[in-house]
Amino acid sequence: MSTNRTQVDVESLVDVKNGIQAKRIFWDQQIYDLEIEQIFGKCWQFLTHDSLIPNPGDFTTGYMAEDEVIVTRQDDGSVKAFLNVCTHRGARLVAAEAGNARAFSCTYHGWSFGMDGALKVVPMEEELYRGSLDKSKFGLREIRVESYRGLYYGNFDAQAPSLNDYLGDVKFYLDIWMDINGGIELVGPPSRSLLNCNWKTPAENFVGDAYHVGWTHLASLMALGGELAAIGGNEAPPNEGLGMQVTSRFGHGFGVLWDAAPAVHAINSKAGTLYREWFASRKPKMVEKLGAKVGRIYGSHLNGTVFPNNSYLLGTNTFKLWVPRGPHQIEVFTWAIVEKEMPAELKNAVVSGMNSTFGSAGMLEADDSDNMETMTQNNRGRMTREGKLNSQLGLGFDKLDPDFPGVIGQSAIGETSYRGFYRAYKEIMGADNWKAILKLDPDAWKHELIGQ
Amino acid sequence: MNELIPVRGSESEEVVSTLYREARLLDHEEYREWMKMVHPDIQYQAYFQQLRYRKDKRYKLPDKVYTIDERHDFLDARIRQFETGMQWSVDPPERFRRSLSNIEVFKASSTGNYQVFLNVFVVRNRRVHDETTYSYGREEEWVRGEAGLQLLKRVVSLDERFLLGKNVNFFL
Ligand code: FES
Ligand SMILES: [Fe+2]
Repeated sequence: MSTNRTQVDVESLVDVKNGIQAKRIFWDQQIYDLEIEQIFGKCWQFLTHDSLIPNPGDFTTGYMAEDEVIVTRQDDGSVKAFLNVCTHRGARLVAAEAGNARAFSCTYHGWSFGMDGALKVVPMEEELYRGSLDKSKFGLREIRVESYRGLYYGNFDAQAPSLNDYLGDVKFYLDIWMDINGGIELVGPPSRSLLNCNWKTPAENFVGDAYHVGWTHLASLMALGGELAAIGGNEAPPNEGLGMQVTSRFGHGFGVLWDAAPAVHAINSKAGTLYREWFASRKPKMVEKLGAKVGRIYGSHLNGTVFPNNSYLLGTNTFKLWVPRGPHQIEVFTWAIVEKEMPAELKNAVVSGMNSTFGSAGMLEADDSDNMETMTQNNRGRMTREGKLNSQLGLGFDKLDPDFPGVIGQSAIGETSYRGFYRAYKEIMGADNWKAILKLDPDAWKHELIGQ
Repeated sequence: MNELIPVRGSESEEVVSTLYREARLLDHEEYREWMKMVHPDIQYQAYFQQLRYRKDKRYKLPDKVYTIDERHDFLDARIRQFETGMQWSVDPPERFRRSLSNIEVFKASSTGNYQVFLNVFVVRNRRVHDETTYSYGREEEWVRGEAGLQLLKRVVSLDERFLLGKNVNFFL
């Protein structure tokens, strides 16, 4: 067992039955080190999307936790990912964030690698190494890559379940948005900003916090109007229940706000008008295909997180990656998501609307950031850090639903998907390996959450 | 042909003092006064630029991310947000100091509008510990209206690729 695993009492961090987590998870260096090893070492992490590397030789660079990576389109159309680190003395290989290349040459001594990661050229190889260097042993360190609906994720663990199995129950819901109507694309380049928070504070916020929307974002909602303005001030939820929450085995989850897809695209803006027309024209088709109960997801607002650190807002068209930089800091990557079939005018309007609300100049983004940061930074205080976090909202009312996969929380304003997120967090943090996780009863997690 | 003709003397002074006045109104949160200086057809943009190799001409996707691309309606919504009195993120208030420099004023031969290039340095203080600074370039167009000069177009180049100042939820 690694040093990190002997130093952290994982059992004490999360109480699934009672919806409690230890505040230390937002602060302690040892917990963070174990997360890097167990969570980020074992789970699928977002890399890029088809639309950002359309041609052979196209590449993007980014991070898997604190490791720098390159993602490249191969000549045969497949996608590979590598550590962005030269195998000679470890200099960074690629300094650009995106581009098209035929080879990657290291700036230090000029070793040059093919797009497939193979070491191709070593300057003065014959004269200096005299045949002693086995170039086949010094290719770039390759990372396992799989894709889902054009989204590429990487995994450091060969034993991990396929990306499809890892996404599990939430695919059913993502497909309603990402597949059924011709697919999505990401619009880049991403914006990048720094927040002084733990990576889990925004991940848990996006996985299922509709509670804060009417309160944290009150001023923004008042200014923009739209479907969510009704819950401004958190005085009372609309009587038909507002929405639902879903959580799944490996911690992915989301909340649904019924019929509120274009919610933050200001009611009197171009994006707002065009987008509302778009949903009005598309939704009947979805309802016809999927039935009224499931089809209602299309045209609803979804806030979700793919465990551990990839969040999205469907309807608000936001796609985020929260990249950890130590326990108290993250780098935020933000792309816009659009539906491929949208007319160009709507795409442009939606992209600028997304940036105005959830980009680095976003009105609602700024509302959230103080909360994310104080939830982290307050734990500097020793007494604070010894305290507990409460995610008991809706506890005892979670259920299974024959029409909806996963465990369902019956109100959008609930913490079902928080509880699912931290149940998975605890399981993966404490597991020897994926084999141990996968050999358990595949339904045990549901009973654990529902309490039967 | 649209030539840019350098503007000097009192005409240039008028433009520069308009820029200073605008910065002061924004520093003092006099947003409605500021809006009077904003043309109804305003195009208000700010972008970050992706890091690309100089020689790379084969990658065709856009290299700019417009973190702000707004018109009059959204600027107005941003102000309404402050006016609700419920905007807790600026309560207690943030404090700004905008410094403008390297101001060059031209006149476009085709329209008679002023074309201005300048650098801006902003210090923003909020909460107890947050002092963040922003340095960026602006290219903009001012047009003469009945009530003086009005801002028709502003394109802000945010030089950092990686925003250290948390957000740019303020007028640039
Ligand atoms: S470190 Fe890359 S060539 Fe030496
Ligand atoms: Fe929020």
